[in-house]
Amino acid sequence: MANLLIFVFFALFDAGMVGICGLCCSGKEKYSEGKILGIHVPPEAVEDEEVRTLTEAYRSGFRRFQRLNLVLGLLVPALSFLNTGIGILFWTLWLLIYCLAFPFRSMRSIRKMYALKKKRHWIREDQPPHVAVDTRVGAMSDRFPIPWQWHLPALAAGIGLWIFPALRSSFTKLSSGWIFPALAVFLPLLFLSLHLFFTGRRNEVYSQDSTVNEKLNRLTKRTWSAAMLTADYAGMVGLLYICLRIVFGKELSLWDYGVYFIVDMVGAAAVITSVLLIKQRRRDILSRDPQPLLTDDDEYWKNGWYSNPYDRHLFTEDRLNSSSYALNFAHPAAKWWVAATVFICIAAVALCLVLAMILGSLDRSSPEMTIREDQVTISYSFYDCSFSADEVRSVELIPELPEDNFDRENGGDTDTVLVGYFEGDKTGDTMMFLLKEETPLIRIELRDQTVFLNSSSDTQTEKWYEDLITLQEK
Amino acid sequence: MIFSLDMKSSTPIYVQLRNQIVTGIGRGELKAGESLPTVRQMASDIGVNTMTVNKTYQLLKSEGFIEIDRRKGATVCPVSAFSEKYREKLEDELELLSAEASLNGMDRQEFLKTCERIFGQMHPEQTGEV
Repeated sequence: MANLLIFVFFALFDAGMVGICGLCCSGKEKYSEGKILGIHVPPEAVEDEEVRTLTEAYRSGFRRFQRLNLVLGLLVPALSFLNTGIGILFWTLWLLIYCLAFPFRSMRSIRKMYALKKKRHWIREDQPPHVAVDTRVGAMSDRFPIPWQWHLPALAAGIGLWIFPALRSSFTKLSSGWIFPALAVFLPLLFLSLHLFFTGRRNEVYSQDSTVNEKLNRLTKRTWSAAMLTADYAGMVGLLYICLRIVFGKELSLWDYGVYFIVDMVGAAAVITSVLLIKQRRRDILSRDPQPLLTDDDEYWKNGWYSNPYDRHLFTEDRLNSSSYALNFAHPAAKWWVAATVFICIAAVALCLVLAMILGSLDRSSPEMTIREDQVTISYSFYDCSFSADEVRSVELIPELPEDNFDRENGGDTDTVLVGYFEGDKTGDTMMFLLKEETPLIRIELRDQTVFLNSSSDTQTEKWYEDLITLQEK
Repeated sequence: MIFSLDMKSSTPIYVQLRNQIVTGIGRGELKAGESLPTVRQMASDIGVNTMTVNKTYQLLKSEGFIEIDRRKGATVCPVSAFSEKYREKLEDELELLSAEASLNGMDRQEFLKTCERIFGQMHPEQTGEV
């Protein structure tokens, strides 16, 4: 069941991500807003043979790349049916490669188009790379977005979960129960930060007509602020539901996670709708503008990436995707940003490798028990337990785990195994070395903890049981 | 009003910004009472430090082209009365410009015509949208 959920979640995520990237960056080979492949060229460039070849290669290459990654994005999560660790590892690798390859393709296209522009002498000396400012838009732009203060009620609700001791104790009683109220504070802060980032961006000047600039900047800032608010409140409603279920229901069912997922998807839908709405309206407004602003700052994009030492912004609007941002590599902080990104990528892969090793080790090995003199050692994968005969209070062979609520403290609970340290409401401190589908189990009561053990064959389990009884009788 | 700044120019940004705003007011593109962006917004739109814009606004305020109010921010001032002090400043600057024009081979008539044409483009508005 867990593997099915992993597959469905990752497959939906992959399809959504590849789809949105495709929508945002498709059609850039056409002449639009005075540009082809993100580079300013005169309208007659459309007829140029080399431009045609380049744009056709971009169009067909982009389609192939997207189709291939859509297929991979659906197939790679299916590996989790074979082995969860391997599935997560390959999915992370695929995601990293896609996230690196996508902008790399864009950079290559921009670089080629700029080289062609230079070759054809399409660099306009009468359109120098000046910074344009619209004072009318700048004077009113603080009224464009929905005020950020609307995030405060959601943040207050999240903080409220920590303030009241009765609520707080409900979460801390559960293993990993603190994650949900922590998210209830973290997510409003995240969306508030994104709200400020999107609405605090510079006002772009698209046209010599101030009304056009006002419309587009208002559209962008208002839509993004609305999307961030919707995502914030959708996430908060979902988390409050989960938190209240923990407080009053004590246990979370699959249905609860399903409700949370659906409510959370409202936020994701709001963000996707915003991207599409801004893209569509921007195209409509600019296509009707008779006075586009003619500024050629392509020289800062000549390498395919943005590098403008005169711009103190760390991020600027991306050339092939107006909904995204490009890093200003001439900014002193850019190298730190790149270093942090590389570090996160390496850490993600390393984490997945460790997870894959742990889960792979669980799949390959099985519980083992050895008795040397009066010392018993039980081991399974990375976990082991050792005790002497006089520590054993009782040993019994039982058909199944006793009715109890076992919280995992440090260990693994997969579809097939239960291994590591657990705490049961009735049983107390527990160690498990169990294959879920195998019976019977051996229950060993020690002075300070209970150990459950079985093997891949019932004969072996029964032999271990007899060995333990013999040891106890000695 | 839409203006542009050359970030590579040897003229400092704060001077370019000052000149652009004064020209905008002179041409009537910025009307008396019209608000200018806040220092922070203007700095963000240009991509410079807030100190640069602050320097420009303080300069414009000292020259009487804008006024800065705590609540309303920076607004364009109405046209002020012609003063003797300004005549002196203008004469100083015209002397240098005239010298440069004559050294570059421009005759008196041509110089006056140019002055007349450019001055004719100036239509400062007394009042306007706020």
